[in-house]
Amino acid sequence: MGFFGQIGTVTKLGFSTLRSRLGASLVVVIGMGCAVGAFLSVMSLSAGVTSAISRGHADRALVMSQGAQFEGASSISRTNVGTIADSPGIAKAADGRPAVSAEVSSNLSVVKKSDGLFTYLEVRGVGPEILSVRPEIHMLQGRMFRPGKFEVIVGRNTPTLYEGIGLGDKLALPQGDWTVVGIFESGGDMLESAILTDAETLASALRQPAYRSVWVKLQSPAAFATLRQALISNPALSVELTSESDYLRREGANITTILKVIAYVVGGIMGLGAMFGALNTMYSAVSNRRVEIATLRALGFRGSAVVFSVLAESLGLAVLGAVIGAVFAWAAFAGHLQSFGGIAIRLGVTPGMAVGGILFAVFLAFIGGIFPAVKAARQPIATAIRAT
Amino acid sequence: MKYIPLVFAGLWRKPTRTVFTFLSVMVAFILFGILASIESGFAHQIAIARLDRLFVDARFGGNMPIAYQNKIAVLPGVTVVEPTIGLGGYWKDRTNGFGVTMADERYVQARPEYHLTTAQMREIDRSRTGIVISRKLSERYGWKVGDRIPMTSTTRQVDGSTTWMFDVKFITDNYDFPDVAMFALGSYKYFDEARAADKGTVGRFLVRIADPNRAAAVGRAIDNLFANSPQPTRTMSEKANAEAGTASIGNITFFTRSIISAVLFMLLFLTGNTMMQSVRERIPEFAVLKTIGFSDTGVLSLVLAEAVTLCVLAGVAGLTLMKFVVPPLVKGLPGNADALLRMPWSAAVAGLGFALLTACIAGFFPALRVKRLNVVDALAGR
Repeated sequence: MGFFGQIGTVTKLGFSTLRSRLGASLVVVIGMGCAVGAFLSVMSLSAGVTSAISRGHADRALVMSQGAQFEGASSISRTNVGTIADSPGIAKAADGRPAVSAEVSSNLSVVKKSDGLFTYLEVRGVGPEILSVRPEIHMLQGRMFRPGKFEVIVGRNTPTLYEGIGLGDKLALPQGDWTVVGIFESGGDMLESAILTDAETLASALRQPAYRSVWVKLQSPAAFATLRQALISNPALSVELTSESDYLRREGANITTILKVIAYVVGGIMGLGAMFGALNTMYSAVSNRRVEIATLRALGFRGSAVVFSVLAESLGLAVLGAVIGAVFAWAAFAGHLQSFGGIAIRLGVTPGMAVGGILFAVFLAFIGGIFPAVKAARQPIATAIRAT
Repeated sequence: MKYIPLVFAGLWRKPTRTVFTFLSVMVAFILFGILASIESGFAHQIAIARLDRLFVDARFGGNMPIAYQNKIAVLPGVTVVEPTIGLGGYWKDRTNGFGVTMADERYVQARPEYHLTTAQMREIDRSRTGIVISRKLSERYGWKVGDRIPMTSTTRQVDGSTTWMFDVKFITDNYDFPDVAMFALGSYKYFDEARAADKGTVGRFLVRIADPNRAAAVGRAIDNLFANSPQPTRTMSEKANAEAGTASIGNITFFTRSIISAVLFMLLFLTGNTMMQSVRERIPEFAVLKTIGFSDTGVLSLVLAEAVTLCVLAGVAGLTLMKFVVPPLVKGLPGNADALLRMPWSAAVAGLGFALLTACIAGFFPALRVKRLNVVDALAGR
C-alpha cells in the first residue's frame, strides 16, 4: 500500500470512530464556530463602512479652504467659487458651464425607527451642475428639487431608517417646512444617507454668506495635477484640492481601523480559546485511539500516515465549525441596513472575509492537531498495544 | 477543608488537559473583561451625564448670537448660562489634532466636575492667550505649564494669520472621567476680539437649571424664545445628548452581549467536555471513594468543587490580567481606547459570577453521573 493509501486508510478509520468521540469533537466545532462567527460579525460592519467609503471617483475632487481637515471646517467665499470654477482641468457640463457644485450644509434631527432616539442627518445644498459632478445620482421616485422652492430630495436609505421621511413629507428645515419631492440612489455611496437641495435656496434660508466647499468633476484623473497647480499658484485663493478617493479614505480610516482592531481582538482571543479546546480534544482522541493506532503501526503503517490522519480530523472538525460560524454571521447580518453615526451602512459578509475566517480556523486547528498527532505517532508500539 | 488536596489531585491527574482548559477559560475571561469594560464605559458616559445641564445649539448648524444669553438667563429655573465656542486645529502636524473651548469664568459653575476655580478662569481671561488643559492632553503631547503652543486652524485672525498662540497656564482634569478626558479651555473674550469674522457668535450655550425634573420644560421654553428668529435653537439635556450619541455608534449593549454570550456558550462546552472526560476516566476511583464511605452527595460535591476550582481560578487569572496588566499596556493607544479598557470592579464581580455559573452548569451532568454511580458495576468495570 502506498503512502497516500496509508493516509487514506488511517484517516477513514479515524473518522469512522468519530461517533464514539462525538461530545469531545463538538468542542472543536462549536469553539471554531463561535470564534469565526464573532470575527465575521464585527467584520461585517467594517466591510459595510469600507464599501460605503470606497466609492470615490478618480475624476472627482474637493476644494476646501487651506488647512481644513474635513468639509465642516472649510469655508469658501462666493467670489472664490467663481475663480475656482474658471480654473483649468475642470470638465464641462452639458450646457457648457464648468461642472462644479459649490455646497452648503445644514442638518436635520430625525428619529431612528430602530430605537426611537434622534440622530442628525446631513442636508447638503448642491449647485445646479450637480448631475454633471455626480452622474451616478438617479431619481427612483418623484422628481428633482426646483431651485428657489423649499424642496428636497432624499437618499434611498433615509425613508427606511428614519421616521417621517417619505415622498410628500414636510421636513422642519430653516425658515419652515421643506417638502420631500423625490427619492434618489447614488451608487451605494454615503449620499444615499443624505438629503439634497439647492445650495442657493439653502444658503439664503440659513443666511450664510459663504459656501462650505466646492466639488468638481475633472476632465480626466490626470487633470487633478493641472487644477491643483492652478489653485495653488493663484494668489487670490487659499485653498487645497483633495481627490474624492483620498478624502473618503481619510474620513473612514479611523473608524474602519477601530472596527478591524475589535474584530481581530475578539476573533483572535476567541480563536485562542478554541485552539486550546482543540488541543484538549485531539489529545483525548489520540489517547482513546491509542490501541488502534499502535495496532496500525504494528501492521506496518507509517508514523507520518498517523500524523496526517490526526491532523485531517482536527482540520475537518474546525472547517465544519468555521463554515457553520460563517453561515450564521452571513444569515444574521449580511445585507442588513444599520444607522451608524448618521450614515446608513449596509452590513456585508464578503466571500473573502469568510475564506479568511475559515483559513484562520484551519491555522488554529493545525496547531491544535499537530502536537497530539506527533505524540500519537511517537508512542512506543509495544506498550501502547497492551494498554486497556 | 481537608478535601482540598483531593480536589487538586483530581484536577492534576491529567496536567495537560487541565492546563489547556485553564488557558482557554482564562483567555475567555480576558475577552469578557474587554467587552464588559467597553459596555460599562459607554454606560458610565450616560450615567454621569446630567439632567440639570442643557446644551443649546443652533438648530440647523452654525453659530448663534451671544445676545441670546440674556434672554435665556431670565427664564425661570435657569441658574447659569455659559456661552462657549470651539476652535479646532492641529499642533505642528495634521495628525496632532486638538480643540480649545472658549469660555469665561461662568464655566466653573457650568461644569463643576472640572474642579476649576474662578481665579484660574480670570487669569486665563487676563493673560488672553492662557489655556487650561486636561492631564490626558498634557501627557499626549508632553505639554507642561508655561509651554507656548501654536495651533494651526482654518479660523482667521484680524491680522490675517490662521495660527493661534496659546500658553498653558493650568493643568486639571474632568473628575467624572479622570485621566482620560481630553480638553483645553481658553478665553472667549480673547478669541472674539482676535477673530476676523463671525464676531459675537457662540457655538453652544451651557445652561444649568435648578430643577432637573424641569429639563424638558425649560428646554422647550428656550427653543420657543428663538423659534421665529433667523437662527432657531435646539435645546437638549446632556443626558438625552449622551444617550443619542451613544446610540448613534450602534447598539453597543447588543453587540457586547452577543459576543459575551458566544464566549460563555463556547466555554460551557469546553469545561463541560473536560469534566465529562475526567470523570469518565475516574469511574473506578469514584467507586472506591464511595466504598470507603463517601456519600452520594459527597462525590457530587467533589466533582462540582473541581469544576468550580478550575473555572474560578482561571476566571480570576483572566480578570486580574484585564484589571491590572492590560491598562498600562494600552496607555499609548490613540483616542480614548484606553478609557474603554478600564474594567470597573462591578464587571470583575460579574465575571466571577459567570465563572461560577459556567462551572456549575458544566460540572452538573458529570457530577450527577458520579452521584448515581453503582459501586458494584463500577468496580467490576461494567
